[in-house]
Amino acid sequence: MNTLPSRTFAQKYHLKFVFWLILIVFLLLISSNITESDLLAFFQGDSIQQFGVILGKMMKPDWSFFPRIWEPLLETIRMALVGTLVGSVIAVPVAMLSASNVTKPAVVRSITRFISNLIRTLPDLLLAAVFVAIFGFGPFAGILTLIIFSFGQMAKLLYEAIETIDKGPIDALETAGANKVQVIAFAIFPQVLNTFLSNFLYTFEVNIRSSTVIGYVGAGGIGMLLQTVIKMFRYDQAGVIILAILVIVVLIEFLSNYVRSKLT
Amino acid sequence: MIPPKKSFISRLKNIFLIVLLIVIYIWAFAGINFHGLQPMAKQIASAVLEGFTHPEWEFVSSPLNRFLNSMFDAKIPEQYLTSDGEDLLAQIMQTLAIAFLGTILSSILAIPFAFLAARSDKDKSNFSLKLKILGYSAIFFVFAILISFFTNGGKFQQWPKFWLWLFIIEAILILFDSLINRLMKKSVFDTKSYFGKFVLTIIRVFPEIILALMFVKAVGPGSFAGVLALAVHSIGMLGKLYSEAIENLEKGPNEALTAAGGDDIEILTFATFPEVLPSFLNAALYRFEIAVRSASILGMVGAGGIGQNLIFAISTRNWSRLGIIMIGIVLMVTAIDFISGQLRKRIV
Repeated sequence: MNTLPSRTFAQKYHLKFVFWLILIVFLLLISSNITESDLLAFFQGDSIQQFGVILGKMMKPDWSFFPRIWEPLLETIRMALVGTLVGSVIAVPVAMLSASNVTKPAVVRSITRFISNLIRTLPDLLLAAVFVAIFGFGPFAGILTLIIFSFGQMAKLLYEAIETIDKGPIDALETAGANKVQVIAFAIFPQVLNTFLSNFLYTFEVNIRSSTVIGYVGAGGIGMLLQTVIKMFRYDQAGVIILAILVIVVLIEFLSNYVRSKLT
Repeated sequence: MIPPKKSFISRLKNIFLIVLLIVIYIWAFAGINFHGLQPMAKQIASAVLEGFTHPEWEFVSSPLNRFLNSMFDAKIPEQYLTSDGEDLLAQIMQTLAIAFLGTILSSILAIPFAFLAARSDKDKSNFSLKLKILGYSAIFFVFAILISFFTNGGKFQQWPKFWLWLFIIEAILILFDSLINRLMKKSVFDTKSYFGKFVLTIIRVFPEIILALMFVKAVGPGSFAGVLALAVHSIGMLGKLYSEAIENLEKGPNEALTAAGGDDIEILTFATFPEVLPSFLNAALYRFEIAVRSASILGMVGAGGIGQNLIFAISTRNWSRLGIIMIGIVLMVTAIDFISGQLRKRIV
């Protein structure tokens, strides 16, 4: 005979689901109260009209502005390239120190992991704003931001990659009497190289995206031009810049995805 | 054992790639100009460090300050006692509220986009299906025109034209696709999916801070602008993650329902939705983690949250306040990452 499997009281009345639903509704009420949100207000009055006006201006780009965005655009790419490289190079020893199959003392591991975790919590624009305040306007602050940002990301991705490698080659080298440096160079390095390159490209992708934005607080690149243009209410010129950002980001994501699919 | 010999071509390729990389990096390092470095950088850096090591603890919470003053006679100055709603805790609550509302809104808004962008398994050489899609997008197009009537006070502006262009391009793609189908019995474009992915990419790449600025212009400065900006911007990434979840769906339950005679709506509610829901929740939680970070900087353009205090502290060179704000942001992000990580572990 076919019978339904018996269910507990909580399952029968979906208590878990009801609990989460009530919690979410409660949080929604609190947060809409704090933020004074009123979705209807956006569709009433002239709010949506204002939004449409700006969007409409962006939709007819001022193409004569195009030659002026080349230099900042290239600067953005340069910033991302340099930031990713330096950040990743710094991340390599830190990742080694936080991987459990390379570094034995747990204290060292937890310290380096704590540092890279801490760095990853900081939003990029925040770092950029602080660096601009210290070093002044220009690409240097942006590069520093990107270095720190890529360092945090690469350190985490890399130590996870190192921890999942095949243990065989390490054991083999250790039995043969290799020292630590030789183990790293001949057992670990060849195994993580592809992952490293793939993560490097991914970080570069993310950096390109954020380097277009961090200029907004004065950290160089195309974002800085975007901010200048928007301060003057030239949304038609902003449209050109945003289109350029769109094209460059999509292009680089496409390229990097292609290379990464070849790598793995 | 002799390692397999690499062909000359593949070696040449590697050398070429390495040289290319070196040339790119020489170009990158040589092109950066470091002029415009602040001459005072050293002093300011030490001042900032000084601020970080002596954060302004009194800024954390003014009710707490009053409590400390009354109970322990802590002698906290008057200015910190009455700043309710302007202190760190209140601002962090606001930031979290912005991130939460924005993520909830976008996690709902992203669903139709995701179904648009997901590659479907329906017979791609089916011409009537393509006509149907064209019909749907025509409705979409009419909708866009209607919206533009509302937005510009009835004046026919530029962006209906943009939608029209999109529509024409899509129609050409579909016709081209079916032509290729006829000729080669093979589909080149999945038009619906490509169109959806195109829209999602545009949303994803559009700078968030500009979006926030536009919403600040529309609804005035405040957290509501931040909520709207986050809601719209998150659609890009959430839609992408959702559509991947839909594409990776197990086909079994869908086929079972089809076999039992379920119609499209029944398949959607009883097979597709329950199956993708965990992935959707996972993606939404992941996006919430990112949204918290974004919400803490959106205040820089006046969209509410801790960002406005931050930018104010920087422009008034109040480094000890900057220190406490940074500590607050780090703690908030860490806590949210931890909670969300635990929840995501339970979902999957």
